[in-house]
Amino acid sequence: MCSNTEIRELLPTYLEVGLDKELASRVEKHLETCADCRQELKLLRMMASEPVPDPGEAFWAAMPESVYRKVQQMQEKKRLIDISSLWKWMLVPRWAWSVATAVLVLIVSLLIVKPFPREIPSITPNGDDAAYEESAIMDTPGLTELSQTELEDVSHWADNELAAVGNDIVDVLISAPERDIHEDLSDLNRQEMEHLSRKLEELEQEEG
Amino acid sequence: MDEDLDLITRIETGEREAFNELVLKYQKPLYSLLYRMVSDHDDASDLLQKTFVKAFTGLKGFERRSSFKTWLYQIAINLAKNIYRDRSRVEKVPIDDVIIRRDPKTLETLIKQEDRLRLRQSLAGLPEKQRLTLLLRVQEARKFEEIAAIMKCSIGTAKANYHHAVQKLKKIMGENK
Repeated sequence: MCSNTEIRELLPTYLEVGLDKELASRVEKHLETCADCRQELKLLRMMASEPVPDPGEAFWAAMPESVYRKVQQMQEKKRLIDISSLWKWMLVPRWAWSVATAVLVLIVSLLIVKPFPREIPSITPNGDDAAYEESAIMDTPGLTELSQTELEDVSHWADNELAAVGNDIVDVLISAPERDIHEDLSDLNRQEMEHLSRKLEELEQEEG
Repeated sequence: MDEDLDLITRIETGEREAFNELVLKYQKPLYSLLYRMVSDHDDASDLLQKTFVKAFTGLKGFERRSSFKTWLYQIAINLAKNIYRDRSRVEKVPIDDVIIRRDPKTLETLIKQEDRLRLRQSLAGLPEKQRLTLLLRVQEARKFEEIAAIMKCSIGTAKANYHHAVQKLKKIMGENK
């Protein structure tokens, strides 16, 4: 096998008569001494001369039109497929549409009956108490501005908060240390003392 | 190749004339390639139409990194590959049939016919990539740079495929003599 790959790679171009004079003469010089390359060139020539039938002018002239028509058909087909796939999607079974509608109605109803709780903004006083209080009063919406649901929410909140305050007062009273009665009596003036003694006498008589 | 890109731009704006021009420009070399791959006019013309249709309906997918011609060749080769494979398996036509059909007048013609048949059979025995490389280089006169782009490989690989193909072909032809 010939090891001159440069010349061997030039052989097809030499066959096409595509080499310049200098390269062509180099190839020819090599061919004179290399039987392997001569055999290769013969083989390549045989391949290159394999005939391809000419289908004729009518065939060539008709090709653009036939390709154009086919392209149009394909594009039309693609459009129809797009539309039909949309219809297929639209024509899903009735039960599927019913289920989807029912689920939607259920979600909307739930949102109406039990709306999401409003987020209460956290109030963080910022140093100046007076300014904070003023701003808090300014920011407080009037009760007339609230809707019925909001009023109910406020009322519910107030009940909870006041109940807690009441409970705190009761706890304080119960847990308060016993008061000294003598201390209290010493605070009374003469008139009050007389009134108190009269009341005690009346009570004794009633009991007696 | 800029001329092709210009034609494509005009086709995209709906210009029919540009469409015709591009088909007329490439139909003959593509037909030649396809015919050499499938050895049948009907199949070759059918594949030719399919190649153009696929190219024009998929113009959006043409990234313009390679030339339009390379892209067309890639489409044509991919479409023809299946038929090409089948043909290469059933290529063994009895030589007597060929002689009777062609009605040769001279002994030289007979020998040429026989050589051609042996060549086709030998080509059919090559691995697909080597066979395609040889076809593109020798029969379609494509440069190695173009072959590399069409076959999506390096120029070195294209050259290696070519040399292997030639060596194997010489060996098979020598054995069949």
